[in-house]
Amino acid sequence: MIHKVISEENVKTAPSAIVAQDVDFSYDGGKTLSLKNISLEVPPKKVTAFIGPSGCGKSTFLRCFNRMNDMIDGAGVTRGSIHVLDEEIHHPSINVIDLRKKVGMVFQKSNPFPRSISDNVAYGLRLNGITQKSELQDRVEHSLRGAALWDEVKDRLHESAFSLSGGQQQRLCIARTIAVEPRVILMDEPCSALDPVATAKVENLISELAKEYTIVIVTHNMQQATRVSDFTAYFYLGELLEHGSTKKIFSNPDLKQTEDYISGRFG
Amino acid sequence: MQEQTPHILSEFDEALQLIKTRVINMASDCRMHLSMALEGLVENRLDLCNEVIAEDDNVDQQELDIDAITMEILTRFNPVASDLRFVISSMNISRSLERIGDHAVNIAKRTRKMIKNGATRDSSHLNELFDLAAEEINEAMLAYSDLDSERARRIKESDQKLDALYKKKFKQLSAFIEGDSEEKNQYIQLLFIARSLERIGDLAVNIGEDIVFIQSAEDIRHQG
Repeated sequence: MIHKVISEENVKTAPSAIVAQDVDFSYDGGKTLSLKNISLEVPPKKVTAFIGPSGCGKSTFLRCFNRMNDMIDGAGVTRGSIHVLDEEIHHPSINVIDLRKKVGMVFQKSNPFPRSISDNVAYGLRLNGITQKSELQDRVEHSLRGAALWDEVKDRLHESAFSLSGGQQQRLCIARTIAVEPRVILMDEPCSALDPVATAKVENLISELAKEYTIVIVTHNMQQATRVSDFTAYFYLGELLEHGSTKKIFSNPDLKQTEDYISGRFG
Repeated sequence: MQEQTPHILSEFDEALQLIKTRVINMASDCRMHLSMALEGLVENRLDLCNEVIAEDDNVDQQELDIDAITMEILTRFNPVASDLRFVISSMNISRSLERIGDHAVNIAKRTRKMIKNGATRDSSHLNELFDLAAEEINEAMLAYSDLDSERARRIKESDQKLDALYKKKFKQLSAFIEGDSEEKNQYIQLLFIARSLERIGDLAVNIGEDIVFIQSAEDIRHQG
């Protein structure tokens, strides 16, 4: 805990990795707003958790950061701006593929490709034009080590990714994400399908990854938010109600609505 | 205090209510033991002193029970924010109450010693000290029952009166000890009893601080 308190002080002087300002978002071309007037700054190399009841907009907001919502017809930011690493991500000059290289994503359910363990990690690297075998091998190993999976798979790199357990598959997906060296990693309930041991390994990994990457995680697990995040944002009905240090949010939040939600009360 | 919304898990509310009831019962017992110990002193009654001493095991058991309920709540319900403060502070309060119970036992044991030695007892020296200490406990428990942080804060002010009176009584009783009086031993015992009453006041202050923490998340300990 002590290192987190010190980190919070450091954060105040560091520029934010993500700055969202007055963001409205709609799934139906602006008829109804799923996100309303959201302003939030995500500090670099920290873990920020989004919490809130189902349908509150936290995953929608997360997917705004790498424009994953672009794939849904009629969906989009209707007002406001989102800067990721100092670039407005809706600017016409922004290449969405490049954006998603910088802003990787890990999903609720692990989704390895039907390929070998090694090829899963190398997939993005090959798309980026890396073909030299030795470089691919080095970066696959580096990524698997970064995802705390290397020791468990180093002797079976050519086996199918589906031969791995659920927890290992999720860490493989994290290895695949970090292989292309993103700056930000978005995680949408990354442990919701995992058992407690696999969850602990992924949580431990998140803490390690935060030394190098900015992480934003959506979670329904309050204890997970307290364990892994430095900052927490509470969403309700498309609005950001409260945002602050995780310590503050879970010990003495400003709003009764936040307190009611985190302590499991009727809202 | 702000009206609390019920938990979705009704068992959680029941467990929190259980801990509150147990702490209030324990406080009530400790308060009664203090009164019995003082009555033993004033009325020269060995039976009351013996009862206070015998009942201390029950107070100790109540503290253990509250610890066990606390552990269960922490494990089952993972409380956060004001729930967590309530659970942890209730455990702290039971710790203070157990020590108040110990002081009641000390008073009973010293009284029993005086009665057995057939010494003359002039307990009037302690009446006012007792009233102030007992009032502090009463206030602490009312504040806990209602989670009233303003009432809890006022205990510290009341305790300053108790401390001032204790200093005065200390000087008076010490003066009796200095001479070669036959009653010297009696005054030594009364001095120790006065000390216990002063410590009980400090423990009531600690309880008040815990209640302020529950209500406002403000840690006012060690602020002079």
